[in-house]
Amino acid sequence: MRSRSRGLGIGVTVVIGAVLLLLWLAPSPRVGAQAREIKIGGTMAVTGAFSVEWGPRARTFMEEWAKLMNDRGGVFVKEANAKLPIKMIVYDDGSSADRAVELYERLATTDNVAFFTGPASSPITIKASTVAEKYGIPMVTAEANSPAIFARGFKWLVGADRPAPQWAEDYYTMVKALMDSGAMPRLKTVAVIQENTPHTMDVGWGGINRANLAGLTVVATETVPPGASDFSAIIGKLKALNPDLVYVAAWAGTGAAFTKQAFELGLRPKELHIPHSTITDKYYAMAGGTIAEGITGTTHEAHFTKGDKDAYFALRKKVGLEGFDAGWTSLRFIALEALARAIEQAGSLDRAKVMAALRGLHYETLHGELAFSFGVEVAGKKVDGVGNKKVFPAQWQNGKIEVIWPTELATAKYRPRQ
Amino acid sequence: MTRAIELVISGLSLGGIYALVAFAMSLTITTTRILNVAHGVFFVWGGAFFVILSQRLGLHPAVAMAILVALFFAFALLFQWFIVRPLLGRSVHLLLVGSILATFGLAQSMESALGYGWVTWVDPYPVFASSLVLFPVSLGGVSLAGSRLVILAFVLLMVTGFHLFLQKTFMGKGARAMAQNFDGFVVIGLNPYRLSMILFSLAIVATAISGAFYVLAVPLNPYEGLPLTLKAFTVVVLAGVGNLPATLVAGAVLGTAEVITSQFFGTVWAPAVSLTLLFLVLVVRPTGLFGKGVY
Repeated sequence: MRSRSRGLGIGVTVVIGAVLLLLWLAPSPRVGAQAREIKIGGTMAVTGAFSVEWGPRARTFMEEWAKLMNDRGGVFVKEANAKLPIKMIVYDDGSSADRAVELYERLATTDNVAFFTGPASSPITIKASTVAEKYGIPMVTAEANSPAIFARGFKWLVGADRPAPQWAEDYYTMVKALMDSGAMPRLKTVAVIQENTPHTMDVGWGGINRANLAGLTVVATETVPPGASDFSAIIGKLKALNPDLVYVAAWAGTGAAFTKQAFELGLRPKELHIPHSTITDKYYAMAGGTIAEGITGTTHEAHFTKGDKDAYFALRKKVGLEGFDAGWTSLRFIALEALARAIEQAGSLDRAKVMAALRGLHYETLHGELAFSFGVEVAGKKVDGVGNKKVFPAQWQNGKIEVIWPTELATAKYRPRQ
Repeated sequence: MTRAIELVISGLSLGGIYALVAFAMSLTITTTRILNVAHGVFFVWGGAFFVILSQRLGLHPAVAMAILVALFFAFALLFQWFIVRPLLGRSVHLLLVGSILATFGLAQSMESALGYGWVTWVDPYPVFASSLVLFPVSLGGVSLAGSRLVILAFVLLMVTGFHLFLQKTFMGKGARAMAQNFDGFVVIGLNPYRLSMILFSLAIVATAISGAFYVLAVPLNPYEGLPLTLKAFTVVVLAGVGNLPATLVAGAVLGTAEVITSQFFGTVWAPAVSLTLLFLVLVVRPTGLFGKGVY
C-alpha cells in the first residue's frame, strides 16, 4: 500500500515536471509568425466626459485610416514579403481609465493584437499604458502628453505629441510678439486655473512657469477638482485681482462652464485663454455662443503643406470634419502613421523590432520632422519617448476656429476681445 | 469692503442653489419621515429632461416645464406606490432603514439608466447644461449672475409657497399632524397613503423643476445625484429637520462657508466644508443650527 502511493507520488511529480519542461521549452508565441494581417487595437472616449472632444467620430477616423492604408495595399512587411492589411479594433472606454485598462487587457489576451494605439487623453493613457508595459506590446499614443506618462521608464511606449507644459511656450511667444507689434493690448498679469487631472495640470504648469516668456507676472494660481462645475468663488477672487490674462488649463466641458459663469458674474479679462476651447466646435455652443468670441486656445490642426497631407485631408473629409473642428485628428493620424512606418522599417511584426524602429524613427510628416526623444528633461522630469508634434494658437472668430499663429499657417489675424 | 460684499453675495447665490436642492427633501423628511436618498437623482433627472425637451427637442421652455411636471407626477405616483406605501406606518427605525435601502437602490438604478440612456440616445457627452446665458446685474459695483438671481427668486417663491401650504391649507395641516403622530392621524380616520401621495408628488415635481432651474447656472452629469443628496442632507441637518424656511438660511451658511474656504484655502478644499459642517452639527447640535422644526 505504502509503495503504491509512493509510486503514484513519483508518477504525478514526473508528469508535472514534464509539463513544466515542455512549457519552458515551447517557443514563446510570436505575433509575426505567419500573420496575414496587422492587428492594431486601442480604446477611444467614444462616450463619457472626454467624448466632447473625441466622441464617435474619433473611432470612425481610426477605422477610416485603416481602410485608407488597406486601399493602398497595406503595409509592406519584409519578413512576410508582402503588403499586409491592417485590422483595426477600437473599443469605447467610456472615458474611464479603469475601463480602458480592462479593454487593453482584452485586446492583448483575447484579440491578440500586435500593437496598441493609445487612448484619448493623458488621464486614461497613464493607466492604460501599464498594459502595454505588462505584455510588452508597443503603444504609440496620440493625444496624451503629460510628462508623468513618459517619466516612468516604460520601454514599450512612445507618444507623438509634444509634452503639455510646452503648449504654453507657443502661446506666450505669440502673446509677446503680438504685444510688441501692438496687435494685442499690453498685458502685465496672469491668473492660471488648473483642472486637477494629468495633462491639464501640466498645461497649467506651463501657463505658470512660462509666463515670463511674455513678461507676465502670475498673480493667482487655482486648482479645481476634475469636472468642476461651479466657479463662483474663483471668479469672485479673480475679479478682485483683476488679471489681464486668465489662463484656464481645463478640458473643453469644464472650460465652457467657466466661460459662461465668468461672463454672468462680470469677469472680463483682456485676454481669456482656454487651450482646449479650440479643440472642438462643440465648445462654442456649450459656452453660450457669442460670449465665446475672441477666446483663444490651442489646436493641432493647420493647413499643412508637408507629409502625407492629401491623404490626411481626404480622411478628414471622409469623416465629415470641416474647418478646424476635432483639433486632434492630425495628431492621431501622425501616431498611426508612425506605427505603420515603424512596422515597415522593422520589416517584421516582431514587437521588439518594431519598438526599436519606433525609437529611431525620423521622417517628414504633416508639421515637419517627427522624432521621439529619450532621456530629455521636461517640467523637472526626465522623460522617454516624447514626440514633437507642434500645436498652434487659435481663436474663436465669428463662431469659427481660426489659426492665428504662426503667421505662415495663420488663417486669420488675432482680434482683441471686445 | 467691496470684496467682502462680493464674497457674501457669492456665498448667498451659491447658498440659493443649495437651498434649491434641499427644500423638497426637507419637506418629505418633515412630513413622512422617509429619507429619500434618490432625491438628488430626481433633481438630476429633472435637469436632464428639461435640457432634452427645451434644447434637443426645441420646445418652448414653458411647454418643456409643463411636460416635465406631468412626467415627474407620473414618476412620483410610481415612487409612492412601490416605495413609500409599503413603508408607511412602520416603526421609525424600520421607516428610516427601509427608506434608505430602498431609495439607495433606486438611486443607483436611476443614475445608471440616465447615464446609459443619455450617451446612447442623446449625446455621447454626458453633461446637461443650459445654453441660455443671462447678463450680470450690477448693484453698487457688485455683479450678480442673472441665472443665480433667477434661482434665488425661485427658491424664495417655492419656500414661501410650501410654508403657506403647510400652515394654511387643510392638507398642509394634515401633513403636519401626520408628522407629529402617525397613529393618531390614522385613528381620526385620515388616509395617510393619499396624503403621502400628494406630498411626494409635490416634492418630486418641485425637485425636478429645481433641477431644471439649476442647469441654468451650473452643468449637471448623470452621476451627480448622490453627492447632491448628501449636500441637500447637510442643508436639512443644518437647518434642523422640519424647519423649512431655515433651509434657505442653512443653504446660505453652507454657500458662504464654501466661498470663504475657496478664497482663503483654495477651491479644492471647498467640497470638504459640507461634510465638516454636517459632522460638527450632528455632534454639537443635532437639532440643527436653528433648533427644532416649526412643524
